Amino acid sequence: MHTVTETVFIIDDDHSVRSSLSRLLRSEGIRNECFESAQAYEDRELHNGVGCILLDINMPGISGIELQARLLERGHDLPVVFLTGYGDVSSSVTALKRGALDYLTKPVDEADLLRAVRHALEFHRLVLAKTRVRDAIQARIDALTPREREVMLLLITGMPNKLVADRLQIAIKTAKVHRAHVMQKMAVRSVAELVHACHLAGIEPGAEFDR
Amino acid sequence: MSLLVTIWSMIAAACGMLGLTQAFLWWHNRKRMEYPISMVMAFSAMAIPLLEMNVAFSADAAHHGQLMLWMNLTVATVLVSIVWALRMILPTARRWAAALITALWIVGICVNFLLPGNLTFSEILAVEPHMTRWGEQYFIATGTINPWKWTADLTVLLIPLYAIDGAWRARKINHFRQNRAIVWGIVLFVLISGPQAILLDMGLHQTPYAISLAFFFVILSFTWVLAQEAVRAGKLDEQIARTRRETERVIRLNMMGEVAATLAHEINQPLSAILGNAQAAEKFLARQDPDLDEIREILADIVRDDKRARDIITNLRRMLREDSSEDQMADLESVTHEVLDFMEHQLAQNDISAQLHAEKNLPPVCGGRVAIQQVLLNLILNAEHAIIEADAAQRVIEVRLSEKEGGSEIQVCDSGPGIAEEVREKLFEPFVTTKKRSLGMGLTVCRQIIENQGGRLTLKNQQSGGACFQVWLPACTL
Repeated sequence: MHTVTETVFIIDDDHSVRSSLSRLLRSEGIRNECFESAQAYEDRELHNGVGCILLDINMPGISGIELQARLLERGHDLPVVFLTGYGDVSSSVTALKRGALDYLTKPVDEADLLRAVRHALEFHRLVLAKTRVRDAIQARIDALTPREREVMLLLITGMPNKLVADRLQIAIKTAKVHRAHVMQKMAVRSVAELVHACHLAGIEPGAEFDR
Repeated sequence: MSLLVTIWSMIAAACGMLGLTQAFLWWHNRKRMEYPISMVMAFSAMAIPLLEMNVAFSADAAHHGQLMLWMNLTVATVLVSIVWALRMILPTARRWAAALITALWIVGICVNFLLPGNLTFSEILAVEPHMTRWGEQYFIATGTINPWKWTADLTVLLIPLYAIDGAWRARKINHFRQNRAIVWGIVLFVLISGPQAILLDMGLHQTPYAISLAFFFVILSFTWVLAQEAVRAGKLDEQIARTRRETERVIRLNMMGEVAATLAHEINQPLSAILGNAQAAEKFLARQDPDLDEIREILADIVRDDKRARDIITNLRRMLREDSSEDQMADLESVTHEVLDFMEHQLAQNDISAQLHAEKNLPPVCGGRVAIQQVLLNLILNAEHAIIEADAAQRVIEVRLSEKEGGSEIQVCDSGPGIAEEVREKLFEPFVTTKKRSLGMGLTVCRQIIENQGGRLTLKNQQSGGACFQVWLPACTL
């Protein structure tokens, strides 16, 4: 178990703006880190806890929009809240289309900033929780033998033991043993729970395993 | 007092005045050839009544003949200049007809001077006294009609045909409506004077020569039309000047818009920091045990950001302050510094570095600071656009100040792609642009502004490829 620190990453080229944002978050007890450029943020090691990015659009070097695109490319899941000096409609549309969570114009009021940041953190928390559950189930699925996976796929379509045995051309008794192993390894007590676990892992009834 | 003398002198004086009017118009517009031609026409026409008067009072056949020689020459000059002036004003008149009439008169004048007698009479047999109705005595010659006289008589027939034909062909264009006074004048003149002169010479009708009166109306109509045209041209000039002033104002507003956008962004940064810091301080103070060191730090930051905003405003104000008399002498280096300071942040945002190379002890230049700054700002904005639009790898704007030819030169060079040869000279013309969203008036106005200060604005491409705008301003020796 590692402790999850919720962190806001502030990326803005203007020192004054950066430090005022940092203070404002700190006054609310929100942990944050400041970066003077997109490059500086990219140089930092990946954050694996809950977090979000407060990103200035207009920066020399790599702009905010460019950084967002790069992070998306690398499969980064931290939500991005954009900050901009003036209402540049076209860049805000681009940002939101690419999945920016929010868009704030400077000077930003404390209440708006905190609402956006809290919403972003909450959003990421949910995303992370979902990912964790999914990862756990995936680990269990990975522990199954090929035969057990086949049995599981048939089970979640609602087949009784007899049909499973028939389809796989094995004895009913063997099918029952496989079924018991699947239920145990997947840590579920009923077929209903198994279907739900598979659903969370992205496996729907009727799916084929890639071997 | 003799009525004949009075009438003829008055006509001569009037023709002289009209001639002076034409001379005046010519003086103000040397390119228009209809003015000098009309001037020759009017001054020749001034000589005709004076000659007519002398002929009428000359009882001596030899003297009479001598005067008629010169009278024919002046009539020739007037008619030929009428024909050509009309062609200038009414381009639809036929050139070959004008040439034919001229040729006929050249033959006539040769006959007039080279053969015995004059073009009217090859020999004057007698000079006979006559009486006007009001009892003044005058003399008319009788003699053998010159066999070449038909050349002159033919032109009397040709000229109205020539004028009417020209007017007819111009009826679809506006020309005729404006110039019909001349055509009517010519037709009327020939109808009055032609038959009179011919009948008189044939001895069928006895009056003194009075073609000058008819000439006077033709010349009056020419002057009338040309003067009207000059007045119209003057009004048009005024309109053009007004439009140009209006355009300059729009451009200036447009540029102010760009300045305002930059300013808004510049002020926004410290403003946003101040708001954040102040609200954070409120929160810290609301705590049970506020950290006063933190609060102090915040206040110091607020003060610093406030000063930063103030500096931006001061810079802008210094840059845009109205010209006062002491500003008529501008120190180029400080002027340039102010513009670059103002643009610095925006350029940095776009990764563009601005470099200033200034020679020491540049002479002050004549001209308003604001005007020069306006031009510089425009050139730097252009350079910035060029670099951004071409996405140039090297992003540099160089501003060089140097002494040159009794003045100073400012060069604004960018590392963009430069300007294509075919656009280069046209670039200063209105509505020519290489930018996507631009009216194409910026450089036109810049050149106007610099030329108003007695300077030059030119363009060349650098060897490295980028464009280089050069502003030369004369040194001020106040």
